[in-house]
Amino acid sequence: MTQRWGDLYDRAFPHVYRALVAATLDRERALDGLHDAFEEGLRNPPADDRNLEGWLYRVALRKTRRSLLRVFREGPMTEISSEDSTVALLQRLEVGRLLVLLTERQRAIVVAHYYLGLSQQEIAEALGVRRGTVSATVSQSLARMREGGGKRA
Amino acid sequence: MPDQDKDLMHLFVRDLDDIELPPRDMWRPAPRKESQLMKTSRYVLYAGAIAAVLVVALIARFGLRDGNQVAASPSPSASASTSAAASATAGPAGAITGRLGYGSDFVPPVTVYAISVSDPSVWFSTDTPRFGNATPVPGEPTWPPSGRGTYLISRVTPGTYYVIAYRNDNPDPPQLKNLPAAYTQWAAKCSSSDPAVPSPPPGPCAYDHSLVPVIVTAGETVAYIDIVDWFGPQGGNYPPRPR
Repeated sequence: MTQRWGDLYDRAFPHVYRALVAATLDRERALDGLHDAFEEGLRNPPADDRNLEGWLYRVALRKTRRSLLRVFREGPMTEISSEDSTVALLQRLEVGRLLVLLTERQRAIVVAHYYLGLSQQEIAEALGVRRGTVSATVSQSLARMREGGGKRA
Repeated sequence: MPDQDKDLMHLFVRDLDDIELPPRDMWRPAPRKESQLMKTSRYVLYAGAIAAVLVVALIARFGLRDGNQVAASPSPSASASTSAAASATAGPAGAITGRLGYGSDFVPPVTVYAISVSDPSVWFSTDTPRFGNATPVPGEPTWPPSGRGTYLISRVTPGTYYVIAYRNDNPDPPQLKNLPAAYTQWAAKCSSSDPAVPSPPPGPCAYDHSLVPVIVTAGETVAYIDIVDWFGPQGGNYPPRPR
């Protein structure tokens, strides 16, 4: 029971942690969010663990930034402070340099799609937004990354 | 999937997989720290225990001096409750959590007890309000309609426990008052919320209402201890509601 949840969590941790770091630009917040998601899983485990990474990502994001939904409501101009050392780390990576050009909202969606491999429908359900919003945000993000110099984007 | 998407996925995986992970021992949260109030309560309890020991020692000393040896021996019940209180606060604790279920569209308010298998005078409990969408009883608290019937007993001393809930409301008919529900063989095998346990299981499932011992270890939360079996014996085989 507890052991099984712990094993599932440990297996998903590396992938989800890296996704959260990329989305929040803050390793401490990413870890705190995952810790909260672990405890949430103990209390109310996901009904289906086939998409455990998506579940952990959603819960951790929500815990990490309770106001993430507020960010979604207030629009893409709202930016969240990030941790300088994480930004410096990401700046060394090609993808990292592109991600820092985006808002947290855009990063959360782009990382979920291109790193965790979630479909647009799954992202919409996980983050509580319309599928059209996810699609538009991905397009805007790609355009922004392209403008920012990412030839491959 | 468009080639551009595939390229981007490869790029994301290649780069983000380079993000260094925290040390393995930091992946899971550390056990929660005590609140100041709990810490103070613990010190008060320790001080009380020490004072009690001193008083007993003094009584013994003066009792013996007066030739009255009866006054020197503490009663067995006092000794048992002291050790239970001390063991309940010493060392890292565990927790028990699970789903609450009832054969209706609501779950009545209950107190869920973890009662030590070896010593029923050692127990931990939590109260849960009424859960569900049915018309609430005036004056009784109600879970949010979207909530789930769950409970969590925290700070449980490591050991082996039976987990039993007793109704706290005034049901109609009144014979249901104090009705117990428990974590039984039936609950564990036939109606578990554990995704690893198919519910209902394939084939027939025995109505075995015997209690299942739950082992609590330090720093761990035992999950899926579902209190859904209301069909066990009332009184009799179950430990009575602790007082």
